[in-house]
Amino acid sequence: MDLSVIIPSWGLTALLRSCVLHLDQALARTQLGKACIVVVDNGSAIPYRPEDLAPPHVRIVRLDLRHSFSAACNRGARDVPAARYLFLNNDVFLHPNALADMLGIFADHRIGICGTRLVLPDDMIQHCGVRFDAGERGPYHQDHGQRSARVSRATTFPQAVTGAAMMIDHAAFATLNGFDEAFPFGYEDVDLCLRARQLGIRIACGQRWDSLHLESTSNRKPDRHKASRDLFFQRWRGRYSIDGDESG
Amino acid sequence: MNYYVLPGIGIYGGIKVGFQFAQLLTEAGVPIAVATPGSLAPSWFRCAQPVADRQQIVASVGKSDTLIFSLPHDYPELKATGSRLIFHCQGTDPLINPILHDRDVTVLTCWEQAKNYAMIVARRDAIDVGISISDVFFHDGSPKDEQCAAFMPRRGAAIAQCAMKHVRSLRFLPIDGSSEDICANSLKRSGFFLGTAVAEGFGLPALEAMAAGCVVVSVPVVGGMEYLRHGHTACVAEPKELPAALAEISQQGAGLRRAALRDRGAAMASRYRIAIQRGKLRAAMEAGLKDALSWI
Amino acid sequence: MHRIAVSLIVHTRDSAATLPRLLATTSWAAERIIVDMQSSDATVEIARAAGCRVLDCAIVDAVDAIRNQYLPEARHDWMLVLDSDEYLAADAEEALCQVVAAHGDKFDAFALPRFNSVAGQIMQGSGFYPDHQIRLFRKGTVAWQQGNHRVQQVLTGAKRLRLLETPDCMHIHHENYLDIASFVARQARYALTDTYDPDPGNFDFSTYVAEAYAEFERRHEPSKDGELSTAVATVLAWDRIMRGLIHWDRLGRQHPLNAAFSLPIVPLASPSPRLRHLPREIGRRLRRFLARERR
Repeated sequence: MDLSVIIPSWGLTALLRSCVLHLDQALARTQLGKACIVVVDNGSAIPYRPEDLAPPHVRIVRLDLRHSFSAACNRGARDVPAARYLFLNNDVFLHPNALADMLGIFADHRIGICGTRLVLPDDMIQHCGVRFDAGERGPYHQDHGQRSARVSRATTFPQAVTGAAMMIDHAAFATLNGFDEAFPFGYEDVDLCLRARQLGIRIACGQRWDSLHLESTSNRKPDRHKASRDLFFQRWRGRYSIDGDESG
Repeated sequence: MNYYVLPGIGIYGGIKVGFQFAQLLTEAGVPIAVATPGSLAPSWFRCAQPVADRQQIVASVGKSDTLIFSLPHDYPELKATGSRLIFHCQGTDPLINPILHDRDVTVLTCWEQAKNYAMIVARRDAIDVGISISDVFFHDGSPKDEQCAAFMPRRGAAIAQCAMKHVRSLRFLPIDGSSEDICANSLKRSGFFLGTAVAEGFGLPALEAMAAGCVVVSVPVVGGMEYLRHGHTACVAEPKELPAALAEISQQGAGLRRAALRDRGAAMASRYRIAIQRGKLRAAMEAGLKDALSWI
Repeated sequence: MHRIAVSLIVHTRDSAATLPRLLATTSWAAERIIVDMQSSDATVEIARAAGCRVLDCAIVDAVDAIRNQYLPEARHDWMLVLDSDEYLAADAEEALCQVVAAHGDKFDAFALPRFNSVAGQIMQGSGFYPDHQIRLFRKGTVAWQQGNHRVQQVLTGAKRLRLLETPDCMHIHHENYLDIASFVARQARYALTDTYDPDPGNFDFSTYVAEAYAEFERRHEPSKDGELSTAVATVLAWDRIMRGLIHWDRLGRQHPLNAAFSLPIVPLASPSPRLRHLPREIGRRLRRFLARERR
């Protein structure tokens, strides 16, 4: 299998369907041989059915219990091993060219992980790479809230990218033992990226195409990230390089 | 895997230069992390390099790994690991001579004086990888006050004090122990920079001050005379003459001379842009650095 | 004087205003070839009336790109290339013959210093003087490179090139720009018509910024040319920045331009004298107040 796309999802069937339709369109524009879409049904109240999701090549991995994002992703990767994985949030609608762009970056550069630019419905940047500020701020989305048209389209090589749309080589994922399941919700992607870079694995972020991210549609609790954040800082405080704040 | 091994993350030029070099290698596609005690990362300058725990790394590396180092005291410990070694020479001192004589160590130099030293001492044709200044230091239109002289009290405070007593028309702004951003802002707003560190290796602060558009008045340095040219890019004076040199160049009638020093200093500093060093690194790869590194 | 037969080549385009003076100062040349780019004024008539051989060519943005193809038109061993807005001194033939006689055996090409005038002022420095130009050479020994105003190549090796040492030597005379506005316009035209590396991997805007600083430093000589030096140095420094932006634009505006620049670096004026004396004034008022209180 050339690519497994793993989408951990809880409820919101219509949203998931749109996500998969956009993904299918993006897959069609790549030169990939065999690709598989793996929806990890992460304890949805009503289990997903294949006919809910339209494309015939969607595989559903049903989990009756609600697991962490990291555990759901790891389970999906184990279920359909591939040369490369794309972890995708169910509220990310990929631009039709985004996947081809990411695969092109893998081909052109010596990298192990690739992200892509994500925008909010009003064309403001939601993600185009993760930077690290000093103090309590820590990791943050570079240029968040900036108009996408104003930010350079050159491929970047940040310290981390979001797990909402993250492509990673099998070798890198296996060496890192996947996402750390100790993180309940959030920061598992940044942790993975920092661990990857310690091993010399380089990270890129494609900037040419704007994919839509509706952001935290499924879990809107205000303190949803707190436990993960505490764990992240316990592990990494003082151990990541500071590469800027919004003013520089 | 490649590691740049450092003794700490304190506010020392060698630490920043080490991280910057590792970052340039990363950008060139080299798999590399910086190994520091406790895998701590510096927060006083901007960088995007990953850090790993030095103790763990030194205990686990082997023949297929490469360790880059710049502190001569690290040589015995790193040699014992059996890894390939690259010495990133950031200062010339008899302490580095045993390293230069070790033909199993690849030697990189950052400036011409060091390259010459390697040739004279050990007949080594070191690979020049250059050195650069962070972009943040280059003047950006900040209003500049000609009555203000920046200096670093940690290096040569006594000389600076004499200058303060001698040149009462200027305000003296100490910049030390601060982050790179704060230093850069102070320099960009200052008319002068006093380089008071006697026997400094390269003297990166003076070059950063040139980039920031300061008129530099400095004592001679060991390796940095390639950019510190008296009467052309800076005023260079022995420690006892430095206050008089500052008085002379800061007087009212010396405006044209100051302007000329600023222009030439800024042009000189431009030769040390990161983009220029990237070009040098490409040449260095072809000159043998590529073979000395580990490619996983 | 042992006369040397010289073939003169001049490229023209609508050069009627300046060509007569050039022709008047080169009548001694054994052969004069005018390569004309579709002039719509009296350039061709002027050239023919002066007995020149006129060759037509298509209009090009950068004349240096086509110079090489017309060099073989020269019939004589020694060639002199002039731009249509240049001219020579009255003793040019004598000076040229002396140079060739004295050094023609050891050198194939000579770089002639050039007087340039900007806004009516002949420049003494600021990169405009001596401004050596490789224009006198043995046929077949010099080639032009692509692009605007690139340095020529001496095909027989750098050691076969001699720079004429000023002041006492043959010069080219050049009235460049009537004013700063025409200087700016021409620089913009060169920048817009030049060729740029199409490989995005080679682009870094900060190298243009570094070139801008270097250009300003090279050109800024107010001790020699006064305020005009500052003006031309600034224009030419900003020319590098403009070229960087044009290059960036042609590559699709994808690269970041996060390089600070500010040319020239100028400090603020000193604080106002009133403010400097403020502490004294405050002290004076305080003493008056306290004296009133004591009473």
